[in-house]
Amino acid sequence: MSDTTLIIIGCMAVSLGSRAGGYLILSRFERIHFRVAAALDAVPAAVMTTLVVPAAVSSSWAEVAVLAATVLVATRLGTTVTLAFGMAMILLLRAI
Amino acid sequence: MSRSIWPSVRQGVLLSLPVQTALGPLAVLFGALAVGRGMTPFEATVMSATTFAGAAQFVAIDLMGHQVPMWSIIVSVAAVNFRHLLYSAAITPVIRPYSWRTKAAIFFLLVDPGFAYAQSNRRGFDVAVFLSLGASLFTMWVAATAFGAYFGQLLTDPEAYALDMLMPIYFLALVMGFRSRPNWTLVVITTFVVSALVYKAPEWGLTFLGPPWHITFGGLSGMLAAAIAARPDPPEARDEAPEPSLSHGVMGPAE
Repeated sequence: MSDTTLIIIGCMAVSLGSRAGGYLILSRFERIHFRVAAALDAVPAAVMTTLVVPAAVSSSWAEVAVLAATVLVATRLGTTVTLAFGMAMILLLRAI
Repeated sequence: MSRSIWPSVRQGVLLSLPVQTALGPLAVLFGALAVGRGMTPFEATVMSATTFAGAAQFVAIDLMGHQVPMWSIIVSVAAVNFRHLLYSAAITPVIRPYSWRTKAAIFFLLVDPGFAYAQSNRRGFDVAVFLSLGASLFTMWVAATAFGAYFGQLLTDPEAYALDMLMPIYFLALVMGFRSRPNWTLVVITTFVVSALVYKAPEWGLTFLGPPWHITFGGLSGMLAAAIAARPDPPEARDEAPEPSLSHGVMGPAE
């Protein structure tokens, strides 16, 4: 099997596993400790933050400026509009 | 239960429409980028039809372009989809009465908008609305991925269209979408600092660090910070547990 096939199977397994797993496993516990719940709740924001790091620390000023502007725009507008804004800005800055 | 299910099916489709407008373009983009990263159009479509997760699929193809080991791609996808574990636990009382076949369908379609519906209709949960909503989103996601994968090959030169920056901007916008969660600032700043240090460490001679460990250690540091800063639930909220604060902004299609 190719690596791509294995990645697709692995991604399917962890995705479907998490959707069924909460019911099958987590719900057996009467109560989740609040610190565990807080740690789990932080996972999506933490993981996605790490995915921004390579662009933020190893790029030139234009990339850093776009990411900073993205943070500001995202406080006002939705995800899709913010993405469009960020892409327009980076294309513009690289064209100069 | 003699009434027709069609009004429920229709309600589910109508609920999906606002989300579809954002989901469609994202799926087209996913298909095009996945092919750009070396997947065949068929593989990209199969991935959308089996994994059925927005951000997690983008994470997977982003990392495929960075030459990281396979296990770290799958661990990262699991981490991004981890919230579904909490969704699944939170809807336990709602779905317990259904047959296992129905439960399997509910689990498969348990994405953000579906969870938002289940959470806001705990009393009058209508499984036909839930399944119709989920099936509508699934159809759009897979069809638009196939469209992007088969017809998006014009995106063969990522640098020319700044596509190398597309995913960092997208992930950053998603991170900002979580900002109403408790201790969000602390989590994001801790994660960013630790992750950046680990990412840069090889430049300072620590060659055993560097990618993909910036994801692992960055993520763990953010979780640790959240656990340390957490406050106990107020007593009256406890009978609702296990249900951490998940309900903010879950209608976001791209989360």
